[in-house]
Amino acid sequence: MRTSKCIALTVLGTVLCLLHVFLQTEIVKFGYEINSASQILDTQKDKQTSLQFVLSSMQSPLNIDKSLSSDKDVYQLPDSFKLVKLSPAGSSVDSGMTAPDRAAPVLRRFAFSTFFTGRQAEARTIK
Amino acid sequence: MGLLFLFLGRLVFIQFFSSDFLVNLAKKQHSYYLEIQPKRGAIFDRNMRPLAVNVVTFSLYAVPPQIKDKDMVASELSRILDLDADFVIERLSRKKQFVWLSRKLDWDLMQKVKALDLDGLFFIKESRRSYPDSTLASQLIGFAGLDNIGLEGLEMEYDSYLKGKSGWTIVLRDAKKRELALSDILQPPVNGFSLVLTIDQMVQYIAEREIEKIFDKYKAKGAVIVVMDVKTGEVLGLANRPTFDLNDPSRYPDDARRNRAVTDYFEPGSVFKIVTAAAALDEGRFSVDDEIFCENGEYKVANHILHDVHPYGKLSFKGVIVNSSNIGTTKIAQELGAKSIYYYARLFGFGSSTSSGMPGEVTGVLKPPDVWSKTSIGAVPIGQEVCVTAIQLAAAISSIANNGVYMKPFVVRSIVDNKGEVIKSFNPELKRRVMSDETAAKLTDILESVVTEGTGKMGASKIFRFAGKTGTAQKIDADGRYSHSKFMASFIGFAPAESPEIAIVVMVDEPRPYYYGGVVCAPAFKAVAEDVLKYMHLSEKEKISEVN
Repeated sequence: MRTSKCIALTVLGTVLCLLHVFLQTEIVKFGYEINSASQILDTQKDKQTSLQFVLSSMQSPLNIDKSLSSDKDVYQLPDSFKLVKLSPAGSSVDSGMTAPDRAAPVLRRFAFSTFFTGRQAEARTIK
Repeated sequence: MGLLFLFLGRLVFIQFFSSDFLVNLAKKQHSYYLEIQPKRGAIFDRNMRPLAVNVVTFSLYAVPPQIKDKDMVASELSRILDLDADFVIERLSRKKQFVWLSRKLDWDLMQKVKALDLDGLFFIKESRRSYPDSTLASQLIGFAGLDNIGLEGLEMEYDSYLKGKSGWTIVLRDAKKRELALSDILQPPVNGFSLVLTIDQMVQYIAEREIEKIFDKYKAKGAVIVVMDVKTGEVLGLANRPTFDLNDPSRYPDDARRNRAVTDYFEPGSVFKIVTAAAALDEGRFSVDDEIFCENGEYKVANHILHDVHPYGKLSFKGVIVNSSNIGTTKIAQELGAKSIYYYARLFGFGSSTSSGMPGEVTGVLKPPDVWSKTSIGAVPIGQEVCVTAIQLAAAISSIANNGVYMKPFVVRSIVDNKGEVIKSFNPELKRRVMSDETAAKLTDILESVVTEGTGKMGASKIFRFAGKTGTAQKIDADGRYSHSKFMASFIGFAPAESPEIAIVVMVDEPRPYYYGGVVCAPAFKAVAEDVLKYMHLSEKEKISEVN
């Protein structure tokens, strides 16, 4: 009885010790995982800070001004120009479309006058 | 048996006599003390747009014994980092375990070096102070050095708030020196507080844009533009020329780092006539319609002969200021007396610091009447024998715009922690009444006429009503005499005249070939005032389309 009790206690003690060792190794493993995760987080945060700085720099009016003036060829005023005369809006003849006659349904006339080219002026180029 | 006893004896010795030493040795190997640097507080403009931030950078170091092919490493690094190959080889040839190769590299460069996958090269993360607007308000903001300590400007003045406090921890590591996240931070770092300035990034930009134009156009030695909110004393923009890039200050001469608006004083010339005019009207000794004989352009004060640019006969009080007659102003001052001029000059804030919170501010020079010479009454009232700063002028003209009330100029609105909680706020401070409401209104009317029909015509706007005063002061040569080739041109004013919002000072040091304040500075005043007012009249939503 005493022997079996002793064996049982020894086994229990061994199991507890093994469990303790296991838990310790798990803690260390977690430590590594936490470390690598926090490193990734830090890297992303650092990247975010860098990008925010780049963004702020780009948004700076000084830099916008510089980038616009460096591309000033794009904004060069034309040497010659053409006058564009717009026909009065609603002139269906100018737009090349036939306007619905007065007998057409109200909805169709509304749609034509609101959305279609009948409401849009045609640009004519005059030298 | 003997061996066993020897073994046991050694065990007992280790357990009872060497344990402390060995435990300490193990602790040293497992763990190390790490100082955690705090984050330096940011600097924002009034709309929380960042003006100074911290960016992570990477400093490259090498362990020379681990590098086999030094020539190859040197050539690769010199290609990517633009380093001198001989410098890299010299560093790698040192018999050391640690040598710096390049400090504070940005992300892209770090990635390029890492991609080489070279043995013996390592990076340490460091924080670098960075300024998104590079040259914008550089003299005002100042900069922090490599160790994140403020060296100039507000970075230096408010360093104790910005720098924060270091923390420390004990870090555990294994045999391969891999760190384990098992220890708590024993003393967490306290990050620095952030500054919120009164400066508006857009107003600052407008001021910088215009100052750049006149600085270049008139090949000036220096220039300053100050934009101030007349009702609160908040400095909305403060631009200096020459200037420098905050991200690379060492490339520029020391001269470019000076915040001339507060560190440089100069004889103001005719802009100082606002003091004489205010004194005369406020004391009730003159009315705007009183006639003053301007001696047809030549007038003797003691042994000194005064001249006007154009000879005038009789001019009204208003006409004297509008046409900037030196003789008329002197005759007004002679009526008032030296004490009165001095009294009002002090009320306007001349001869004392404005306490604006900017480092290096000087008081200027304003001699008390008892040390005035016989000619001083013909000099001080027209802005000679007196020295002022641009910030003093801005505060002075603001007091006319603000119904005669002098507001203390300031540049820092608040100090906030990293959660945005206000730690300290700086509110507008009413210092004193300089003149009555009525006097301020009369002066405003006179100053408006200066722009519409007087010396400041080139500052007139088709959109807004402006009020202002021109100034052209001769500088003093090395021999102590007034120069005939070196001038200080200036224009001070406010807008809109009917309901003032902003005051602007434009000052140009030694402009060439033109040097009149009305020619050199008034157009810049107009350009700044028009754009700033248009911007200020936008809704808050339109102003800040996107804030991080």
